[in-house]
Amino acid sequence: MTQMSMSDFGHDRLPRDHELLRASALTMRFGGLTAVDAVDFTIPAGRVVSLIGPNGAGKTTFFNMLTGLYHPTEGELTFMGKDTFGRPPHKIAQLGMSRTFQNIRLFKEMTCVDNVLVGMHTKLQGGMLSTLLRLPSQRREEREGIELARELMRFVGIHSRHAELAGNLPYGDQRRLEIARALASRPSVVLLDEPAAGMNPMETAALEGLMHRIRDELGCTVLLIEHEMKLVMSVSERVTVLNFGKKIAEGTPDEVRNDPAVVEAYLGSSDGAVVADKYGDEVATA
Amino acid sequence: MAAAASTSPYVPALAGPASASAPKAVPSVRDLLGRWAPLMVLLVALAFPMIEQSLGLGMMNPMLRILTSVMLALGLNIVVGFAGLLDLGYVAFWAIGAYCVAWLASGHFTEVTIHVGSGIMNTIPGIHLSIWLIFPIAAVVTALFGVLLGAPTLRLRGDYLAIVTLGFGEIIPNIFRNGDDIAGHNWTNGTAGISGLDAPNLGGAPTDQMLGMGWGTWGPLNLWPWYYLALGLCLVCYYVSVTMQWSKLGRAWMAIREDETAASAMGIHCVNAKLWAYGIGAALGGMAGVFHGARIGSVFPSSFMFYISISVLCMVIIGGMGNVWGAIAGAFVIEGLNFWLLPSLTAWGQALGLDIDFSSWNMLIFGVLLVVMMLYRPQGFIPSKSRKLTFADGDDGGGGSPPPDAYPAGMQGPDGDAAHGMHAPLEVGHEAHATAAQAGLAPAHEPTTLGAPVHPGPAIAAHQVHHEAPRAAPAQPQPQPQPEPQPHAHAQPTAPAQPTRRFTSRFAQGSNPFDRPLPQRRDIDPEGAPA
Ligand SMILES: Nc1ncnc2c1ncn2[C@@H]1O[C@H](COP(=O)(O)OP(=O)(O)O)[C@@H](O)[C@H]1O
Ligand SMILES: [Mg+2]
Repeated sequence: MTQMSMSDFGHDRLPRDHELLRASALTMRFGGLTAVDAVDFTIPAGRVVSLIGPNGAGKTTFFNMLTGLYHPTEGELTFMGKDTFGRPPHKIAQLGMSRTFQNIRLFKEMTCVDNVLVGMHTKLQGGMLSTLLRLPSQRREEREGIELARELMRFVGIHSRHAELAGNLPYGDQRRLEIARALASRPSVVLLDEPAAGMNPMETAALEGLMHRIRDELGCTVLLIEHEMKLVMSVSERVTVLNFGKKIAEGTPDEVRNDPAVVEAYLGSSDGAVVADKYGDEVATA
Repeated sequence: MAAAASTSPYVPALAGPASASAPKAVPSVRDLLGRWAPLMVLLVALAFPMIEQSLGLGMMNPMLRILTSVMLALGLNIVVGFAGLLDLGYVAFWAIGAYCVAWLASGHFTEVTIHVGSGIMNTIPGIHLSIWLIFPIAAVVTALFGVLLGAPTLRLRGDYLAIVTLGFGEIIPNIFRNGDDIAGHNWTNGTAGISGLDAPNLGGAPTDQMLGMGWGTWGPLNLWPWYYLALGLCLVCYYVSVTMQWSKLGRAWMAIREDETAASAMGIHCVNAKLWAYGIGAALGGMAGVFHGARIGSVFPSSFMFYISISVLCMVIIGGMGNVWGAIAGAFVIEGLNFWLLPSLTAWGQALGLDIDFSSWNMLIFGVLLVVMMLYRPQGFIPSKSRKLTFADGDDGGGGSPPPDAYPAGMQGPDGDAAHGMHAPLEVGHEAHATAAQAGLAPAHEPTTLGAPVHPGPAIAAHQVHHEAPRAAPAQPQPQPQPEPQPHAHAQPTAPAQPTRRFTSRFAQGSNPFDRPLPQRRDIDPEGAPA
């Protein structure tokens, strides 16, 4: 068994700021509705970058295209130097892209450890024959997988809940378990869709540290969708703003914060303040 | 799940390796039961023929039928219970297995004379293979048919999947029924079926068989060898089930069952995983079919009715979907109804002057049983789908929901109420979902913003019903556990600092989870990636 080390992935594989992902004129249309309209976007390796925008701007749709859950209508998509346009999700996941979901999608009737082990799927051998014969190599892999899963749970701060069913965790812990599950495949980039939604202020504060640790300690690039502006502004190195499916601004948090188009999009006040979405169920405050 | 040794879920982990030296909690009854029950069941099963004979119960024939059902239930449990693919045509694989043995161990194909370890005179025409060869052959053949019949259904979910599999379950026996003239050849002998199957042979001399003695004799008068063969097959099915359950593939099945979209985003090739489930499930059903055919000595298309598919599904559901022991228990309950309760009821009724044949009511009774189970115990007899995890460092995994007050004081959120405001919508949605599922409905629509390309349709009621006790009602303020203070995270002055630092420091020192020697990277070809 070869040693799996840091040099195998993430920003060590690609030098910092090397282009990890490039989307060119990526477009998604649902019937008459253009949810994402010719968006150009790149993810530099080893950074935390954010995608923001009012609700319904097309952020989640954009994530779904990157991860292969949606087949983009048109455009180009390159990840890790490979054309991933329209590739199925499992292929893209195998290339090293991993994600969480806006509405938590854990495997609720499975234990926490098993959830993380599912996230490890692409990195486990688990051959049919060696599984059925319970070969020592197979059992060792399984044991080490469980150990790694526990460490990841510790890493995100939900240790000692391993044997609990994921659906029984408190909301904030479920969010973090989802992050642990996403990290388990040792992705080059992890896409987090509103990880702070529903978290209390202390959990949100801890999330900021967690994202830096994902970048610095695990060497994993982070792409973040978030409504919690304080978190976005303090954690990101670059911010892209979508509105009605179009990219309206891009730059450092400070540049974006002072961009008139952004202020305009976030009807409300000038410093990215209160945003009540059209459904009225999610509120972000600066 | 064992009771956590401590009241606080944090204690075992904070103590880290030190907790290994802490006194172990006395194992609970449930623990002991979990550990020893399988062995006890095996011992009883091994001794059953002797017990049966000494008590003169006359239970051997019913028991063989029950064990056949156990094999079928374990096989279907892989498809329905593990992978969540509602299969209403499972009887097809039972039929294919039975026809495999009918073709390979009888004089049906008189044109040829092939003998391999048949133990009978090798001038008798027909294909006569040893049953030990037929089992693996039939397993492969049925697995292939499982994949073949599964392939067209891969994109279907819920009702549609059920209907298509139901169709296959009807088509296959009909092909056997009408297979007496396909391409000018009599393949299946039509409704008359194939009879005169060879008795399995364990090497006894033919004369021994004539005398009805010894292990070489597998006749209606000597059921012991049949019994142990059935028991061995059940053990094979059990082994395959439990081995697969906690493997990479088994977890992939369960992930697909829970949320196919999320599973594919985790890198699971859902098509492959489902085909494996169909294949392995079908292979187990096929082996049950071989046993059944050999045991009865003849195979008729009329014995592979839709009714069988349904009763095996009942076994899986009432036992607890996805639970291996549940499927076994379900087989005993359903067949117990058939072979013991209903005939007994009939006999008691007759003793009271009632002329009612309760045995003919079995479908009605299954139906009522199923409805009652769905209403009062949707998770089945044995609901636990989680496994007990024990770790080298003595951490028992913190199983079970800790009571809300288990969290150390001072770790509560500063504004529990505000937090609860945010949780409320989730709770409501959760409950609504469970209720809809209980009523046999699927949620009409998953939230669109999340954007699954395909929405999980209604699978089967029991599958969708979530755990019995959802989290605490929003009305009761529940302290939220705070994230463990991390070296890089914001300082949390309220948290106990001393033990935590020791625990998290391994990350600060650069020992991170990704440095593990664990999995190999075989999926990204290094050449393809930019250096
Ligand atoms: N599967 C879908 N079918 C039709 N419309 C969709 C689908 N997914 C998203 N949309 C629409 O696309 C728009 C963008 O949605 P979304 O990407 O979820 O926004 P955001 O995540 O920025 O809040 C919305 O108007 C939404 O209704
Ligand atoms: Mg969204």
